[in-house]
Amino acid sequence: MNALFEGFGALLSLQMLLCIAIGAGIGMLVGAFPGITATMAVALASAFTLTMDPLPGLAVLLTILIAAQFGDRVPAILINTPGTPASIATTFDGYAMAKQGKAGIALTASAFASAAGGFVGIGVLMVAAIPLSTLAMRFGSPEMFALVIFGLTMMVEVSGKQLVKGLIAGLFGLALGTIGRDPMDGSDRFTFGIPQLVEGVPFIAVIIGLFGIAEVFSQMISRTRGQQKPITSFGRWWPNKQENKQLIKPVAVGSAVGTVVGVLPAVGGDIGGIVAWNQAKRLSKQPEKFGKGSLEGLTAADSSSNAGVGGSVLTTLALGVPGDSVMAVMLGSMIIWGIQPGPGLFSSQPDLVYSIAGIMLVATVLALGLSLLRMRGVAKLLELPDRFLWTVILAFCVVGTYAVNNAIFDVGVMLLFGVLGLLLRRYGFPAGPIVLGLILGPLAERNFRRSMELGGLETIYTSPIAVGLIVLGVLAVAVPRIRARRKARRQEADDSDTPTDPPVPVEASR
Amino acid sequence: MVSHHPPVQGDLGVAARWRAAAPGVVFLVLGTVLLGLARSIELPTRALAVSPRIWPEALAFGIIGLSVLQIVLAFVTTPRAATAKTADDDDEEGPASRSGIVRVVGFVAATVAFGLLWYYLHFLVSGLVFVAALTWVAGGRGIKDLLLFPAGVTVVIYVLFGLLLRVPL
Repeated sequence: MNALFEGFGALLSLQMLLCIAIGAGIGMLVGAFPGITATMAVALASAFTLTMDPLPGLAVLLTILIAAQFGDRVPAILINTPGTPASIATTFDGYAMAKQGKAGIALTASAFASAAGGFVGIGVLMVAAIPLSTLAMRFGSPEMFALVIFGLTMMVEVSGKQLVKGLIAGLFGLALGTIGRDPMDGSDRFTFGIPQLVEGVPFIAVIIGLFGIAEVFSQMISRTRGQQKPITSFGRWWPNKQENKQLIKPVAVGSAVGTVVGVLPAVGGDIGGIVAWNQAKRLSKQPEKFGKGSLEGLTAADSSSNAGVGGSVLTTLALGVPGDSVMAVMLGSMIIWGIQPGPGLFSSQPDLVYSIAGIMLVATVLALGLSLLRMRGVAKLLELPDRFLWTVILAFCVVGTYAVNNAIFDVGVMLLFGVLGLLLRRYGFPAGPIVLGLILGPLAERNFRRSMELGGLETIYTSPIAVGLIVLGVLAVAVPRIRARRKARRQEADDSDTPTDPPVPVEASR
Repeated sequence: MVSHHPPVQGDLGVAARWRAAAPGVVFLVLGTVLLGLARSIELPTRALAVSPRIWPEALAFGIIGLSVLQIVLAFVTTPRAATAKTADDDDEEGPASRSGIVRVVGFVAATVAFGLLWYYLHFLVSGLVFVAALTWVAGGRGIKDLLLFPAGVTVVIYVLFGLLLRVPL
């Protein structure tokens, strides 16, 4: 208990609050601009914070990370472009809601769900750090492969009625993921001598191209002057009682999934959001609304990616293994400050763990407040005439994509995938599975081949966790379909039992 | 006596089927290329449990198989069903207009030109020209649209990325 008071007490200074406020401002800005990732901002900020004391330095870095995962929802919902990869799944339902005139409610619900997910992740960090990190240690290559396969089953859900097209798109994404270094021997593969492809296809450029640029191009190509813009009305800003009630289940599902996925090393909030969206759909009473503007889908995804922050911080602190790329940057800063994350940290410096949790708590509250305040200002931006709005979006996407690696090559990739995304849309191919394949493909291949090297298929089917995950994946695909078929049959039987309207005599209809 | 016929028949139906099959053909070619590339991967001298070709080959076979299925479906199902949009597509996505295609081509061309110009001119100059070109392509005319607005956007981008985030623009 003493450690808790000491840890939280250390935050009660003007310097700490100022650091959190600065971090929140930078984070919100970073999140709102597509192309600037939280990893990049934290890496840049770490250069400035190294000269500070550890706690204020950590306050700036952690708050940037948390606030970025609030700010990135705004472009995801309003212009179908994820501000950071963590909000990929936000676009699935957020943009559809915005087009239905429900942008206000989508933004508000997203902010609250993100905060709820964040609180759950922080709570788990404070309470269950040790047992969860022990579980995460059991995840070897076979278990990770099974987890990725479980995640890939989402392609089926994202494809909707166009299953074949969705699966082709998914396999295309997986094929894109094979470009770059071979995961086992490190040799170049399918790079055609292009050095920029050695690290793989720049996936942020692909995401911005497929979602943001393709959307702008799609509006440009089909809209004649004078037609109404898709988002002119923001509608209500606050969810009503019934909607609030409806959100409890998806936020709970998202928070649970996000925390678990966040705990796993090297799995980021982007994957957590996607997996949670899928799980929420499977557990929903209205799964048919997912992908078409479901408040449940939106909030499940957003709560999950923010819950993942707590999970990844937990892994970093408890194991000394970075939970994701941004935590890898933060781990470097901690080591320079003389903080040695690992199992010993919880016994040697428990107050520091609580201070970190406290910083995250204050940062989440502040980011939530900023999100709610800022949204009405963002609305003004969308009142711009088309010619200005399209230009601003494209110009920021171009410079934002360039800024990720300072490479004009990435801008070319973004443009290419923008045009490809436009063509795919017009032929009815969903873009979601491509991104899913591109993100999960390298993880799947690496862990599959490692498992094979470790002892063949036996390593997978003798692992209870791996078998459990694969069975869950199969059930998750099969059960909703069997249920839907049964329901349809029952409906047909009911319809045939119900007497139809009596035939109208010919004379009567005259 | 007047007889009624289904609305889509003849040449129109065949054209729609070919249009629906076209992406399947493109993916079939891509899958075949991937298969060729996968088979060209050099095998390492040391013994491995699985070949490094196994993953890309499996993906290539998957793409080829599904593409063939897509082509077959395009000819078996009705043209409307074969070209139906997916769940995450725009419900109100209208047909492509000629001016829209020109705008998209203009945006792509302006971005490519900007990429080249950026090598030779400072961002503040090349960016201004780029934003002005985009605004013109999108229908902007006059000093406000082609000078003041591009200048404002360029300066905001430069301050944000170049000065605050220290991106070498």
